[in-house]
Amino acid sequence: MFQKHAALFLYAVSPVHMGAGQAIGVIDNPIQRERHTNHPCFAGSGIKGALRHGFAALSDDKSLLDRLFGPEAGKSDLHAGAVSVGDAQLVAFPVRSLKGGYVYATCPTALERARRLLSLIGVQVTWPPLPDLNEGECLLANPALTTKRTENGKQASVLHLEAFEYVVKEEKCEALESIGNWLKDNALPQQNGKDEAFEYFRSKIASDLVVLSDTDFAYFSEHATLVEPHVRINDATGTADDGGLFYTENLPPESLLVAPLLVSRTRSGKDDIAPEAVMGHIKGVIDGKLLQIGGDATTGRGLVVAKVVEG
Amino acid sequence: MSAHTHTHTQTHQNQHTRLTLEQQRAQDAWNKSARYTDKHRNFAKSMPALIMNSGLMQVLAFCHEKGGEHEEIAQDLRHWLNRRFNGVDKDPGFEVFMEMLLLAGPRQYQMATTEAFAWLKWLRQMASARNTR
Repeated sequence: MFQKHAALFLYAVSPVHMGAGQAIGVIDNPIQRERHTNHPCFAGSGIKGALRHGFAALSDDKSLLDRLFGPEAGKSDLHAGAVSVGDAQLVAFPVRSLKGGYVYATCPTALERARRLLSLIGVQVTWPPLPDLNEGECLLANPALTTKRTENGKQASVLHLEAFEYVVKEEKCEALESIGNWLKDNALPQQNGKDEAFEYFRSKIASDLVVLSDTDFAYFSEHATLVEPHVRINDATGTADDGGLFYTENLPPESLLVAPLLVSRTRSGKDDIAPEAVMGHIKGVIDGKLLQIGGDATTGRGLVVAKVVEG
Repeated sequence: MSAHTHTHTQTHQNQHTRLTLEQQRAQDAWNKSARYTDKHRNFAKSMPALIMNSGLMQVLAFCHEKGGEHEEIAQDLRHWLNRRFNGVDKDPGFEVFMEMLLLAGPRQYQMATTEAFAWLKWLRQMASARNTR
């Protein structure tokens, strides 16, 4: 049983390719998605591998590594690890916007699932309930994102995302403002050392968080990812070789996900570490730090900033 | 069995058994990809990514301007979308279809895009499978 719980926020600062293997779909090399919402996700096994790798790179004590994450297969002293990471679910997804460059789009289902997860692991959130929302409508906290226009003699406030237009239901939604401020204070690190490098993005997530209906959000989370063609360049000619073309999908930078992080006391049978100390070790190494998750690491993919919020 | 009788059998069968939407897309892609060449196959493979990055209308306009295999696949796509959304079993042509999309509400436009992906998913596989020469 796990005794200490925390939420692990993962904020992408580069495209992330957490691959789902080869697929027979529109994209040859798609990213992982949840079956029921089709939102992008990161499997817990992949995050745990990245944590272990990050820990191994930054800590010298190899015995600590096995005690925290479990020994590798085939070792004689088999025991379970003390750290458990669940699957990361989508909280906010960046979408190109006519005003403000891009917004952090989300939807009632994504927010409520984040709220449920946080509440289950004992993180107290005081997110006020959001007003009901129909398809084609949106909620905003920042009136500067809207465009005014007159339709049938009536003035309407609209939000333009990519090629689409959403009618603004509440231009300064206080409930949303409160959620945005919570994310600002909790989901993104305050500082990287003494450098306040996250400040711009912390303010932006607080002001430019936008709620779309589940249906409208699903469209973007499915069709507004980063799709890149890859070819093989022939060394002799310097041009693309025949037959080497494939398409790969990435989660775009500025995406925000959250996963449960659970720890127990270590179970190696010698010098066991208490759960509080295990959490301390993990937090010390990854909180506010850059992790690399998923594939294509050597071409700059998979950089995420981790933030641990204890319950 | 000739391609002609094959198509005929499927149309006949269609009248008696209710096919799933996925089967209908597959069947349409199967029939259309029968005449595809290497060039068709290559463009069918890249078309979804092009739509994802540039948008449906932009890609249809690009295909029309480019002509050849590009426009032939665009015709096949327009045909399917017209059948699916308007119940009319033919390609309405470039101008008419573009005007339909120009007047479509955002939800209809998104539905057309989503449907295009669902059909292209089949087309790109069928085109490769039927064209291994």
